[in-house]
Amino acid sequence: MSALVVDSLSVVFGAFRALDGLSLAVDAGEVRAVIGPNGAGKTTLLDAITGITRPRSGRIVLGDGLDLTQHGEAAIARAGVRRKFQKPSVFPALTVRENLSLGCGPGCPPGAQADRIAAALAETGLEARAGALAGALAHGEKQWLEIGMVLASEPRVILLDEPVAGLSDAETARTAELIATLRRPDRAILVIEHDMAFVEAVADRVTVLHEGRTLFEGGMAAARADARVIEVFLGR
Amino acid sequence: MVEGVRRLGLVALLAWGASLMMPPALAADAPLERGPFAAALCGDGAAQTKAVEAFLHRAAEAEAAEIAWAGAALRALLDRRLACLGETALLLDRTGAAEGVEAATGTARPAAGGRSPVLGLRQRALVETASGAAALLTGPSVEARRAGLSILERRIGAVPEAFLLRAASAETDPGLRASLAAVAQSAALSSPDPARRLAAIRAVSEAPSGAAFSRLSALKTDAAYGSDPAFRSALDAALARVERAVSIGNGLAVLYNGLSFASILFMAAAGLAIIFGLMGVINLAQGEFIMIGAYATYGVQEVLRRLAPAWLDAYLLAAIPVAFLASAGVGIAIEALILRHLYRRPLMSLLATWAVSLFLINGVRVAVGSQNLQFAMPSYVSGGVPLYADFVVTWNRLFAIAFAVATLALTLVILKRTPLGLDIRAVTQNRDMAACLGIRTRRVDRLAFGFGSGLAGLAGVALCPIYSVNPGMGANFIVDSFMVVVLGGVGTVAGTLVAALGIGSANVLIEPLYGAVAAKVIVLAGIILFLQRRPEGLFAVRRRR
Repeated sequence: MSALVVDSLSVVFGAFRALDGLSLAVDAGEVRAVIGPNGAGKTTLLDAITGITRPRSGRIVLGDGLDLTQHGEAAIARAGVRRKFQKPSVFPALTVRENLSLGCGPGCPPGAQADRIAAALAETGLEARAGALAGALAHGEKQWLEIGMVLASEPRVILLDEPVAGLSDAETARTAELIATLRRPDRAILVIEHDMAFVEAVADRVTVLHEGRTLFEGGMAAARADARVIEVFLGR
Repeated sequence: MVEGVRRLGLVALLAWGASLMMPPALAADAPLERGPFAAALCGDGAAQTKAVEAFLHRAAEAEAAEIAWAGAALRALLDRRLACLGETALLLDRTGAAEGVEAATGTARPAAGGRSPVLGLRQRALVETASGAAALLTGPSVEARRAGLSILERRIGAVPEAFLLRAASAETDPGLRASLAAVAQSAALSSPDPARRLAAIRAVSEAPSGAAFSRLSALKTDAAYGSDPAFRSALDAALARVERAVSIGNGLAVLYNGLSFASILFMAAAGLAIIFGLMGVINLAQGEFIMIGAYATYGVQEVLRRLAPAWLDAYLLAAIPVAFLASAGVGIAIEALILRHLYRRPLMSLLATWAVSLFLINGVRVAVGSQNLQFAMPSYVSGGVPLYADFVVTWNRLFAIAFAVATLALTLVILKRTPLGLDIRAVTQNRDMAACLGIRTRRVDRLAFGFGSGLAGLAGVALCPIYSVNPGMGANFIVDSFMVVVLGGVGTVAGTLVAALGIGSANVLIEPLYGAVAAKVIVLAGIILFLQRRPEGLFAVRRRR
């Protein structure tokens, strides 16, 4: 069944239609990658889901029927939709542990917080850096910390915006493993990424966006073979 | 040749001094014999002088009863109640009474035919001194002894040092004992005996103070300063020592006053820094939150005065939570009613808080009046402990300092150890990201605004024992508080602390040199120059907006 349904969503910036009647359904337990050339509307889609950008029309519905377009960003986060930003967005002047405890969020049961932080530290391999300021971490560690912050809240929907941008090959492989461990039957994961090898490694299905509309949806191998996709990516 | 004459003079001076030190042979061992003493009082001027001088020199060791008896006889002589019949002297109840008692034995006898001796000027002064000495040692009440001391003071040179020491050790009243010690010291300073003078100069310089300095510098006009090189060098050394100690003590006092001013500034500015760091709101009403805290303290005092006068002294402590909640409550109300609509419009919120500040000032003026409030000073904030030279650690300023330290600890605990504090720090660093994590940023804003206002209320409690409390008092602090926030760097407690200490001390340091207005101008100019170099302040938090 679908954990997240995007229904004919349109986002307009002035005269520019960033998303043009886009529809998309992500199932629980699925890792879905969204790819597309620059300006296809990938980040705008995430902005609309997390409530940062208001859509002109359309709906975004969670599995239990909650319409996210009617709520603010904090409420959406509390409903279990969590996002890792493209630029590593951690609080540099707070420690890793404090960042994780913020990631756990206000809905975090006080008794469970310590366990969840410990689990997130273990999964991201940041145990040794728990007391360090987040600003002092390496770029890759910041990416993992942000994924850890998302994890600590035990979200239903995880949105990952270019999680391996700027990482080394080893770090990319490590991130792919991390994302594989995030997969759970009751959780939908949406990844935006340009690194096709990475997408192939983590995603069950891909959605190719072009000019705010869905160009293709299916397996990665089929996408590579699709003539329209090749045309969009390689140019006419 | 000249040198020889001077040396000769010095030897003569020393010999003269030694002869003065030597007690008269009569006084050395002979106990006071009542008969001859009374007879001497009836004798001629020379006999009177000799007897009374002898008594004065014996007074350091004589028994109290003996001194009391002699005192009564001397008093009678002064009041012309002493009738002399040949060799015996009678004490009368009043001048010209028909009957009296024999001074030596206490037997009653008619006084007919007795003559009352009239004292010569020199003898009168001496007898007065001796009777004062007797009163000082054996007077039944503190007042009587104090009166005796004030008589002694007039001719202190005639009183032996040992007597003053005895009186000081026998005295039970601490106030009188202190004045006795002071009298003894000045007696020693003007003593004709050079060794005693030098010892006294050293003793005075042991306990340096402004008063000691002026007492010592008065000795510069003394003849011995010009003629006696030992005296001169001792006095110069003592003066230098006292002067240094007094200037150190004054420096400490200035620092102490600066520290207490900085404490108040810190409490006002910490709230301001939190609010500005979090919401970007420049809260011009922060000074009025201080005022509300002070008025809440006054309210608690008045309530206690009516309902539980026995607990009146505790009002400052009882006011701590009341003032915090009162200022926090007003702050939260202002946030909810006004500022909530003006976020991300800094100029508008600045003007709005200024309007709020005017409203609060004039509201209090109408409701309470514009006069300074009268505070009862509990024992724990009045007085102080003299620490060094003229530097006195006054309890009221120590109260403010301790209060600020406690506030600092409270602020740090709340910011670093509580979920609210973590939320405040997260929202301060990156509001959008914090919102994405599900933090209710508006609620954090409101609580933080209340907390910041409450800190200003605490500053109001702390300054009640030091500064005057009236509706316009906030203006004295708001400008300095803002300078503290700007200098310290926005949103850091450590920066606020360091900047408060710096600005508070600088103000107090410059004030005595160039005046209060110049102090403010100089401090402001210094801050402007500093900000040219480091626009982000002393300590800056890396953040994104």
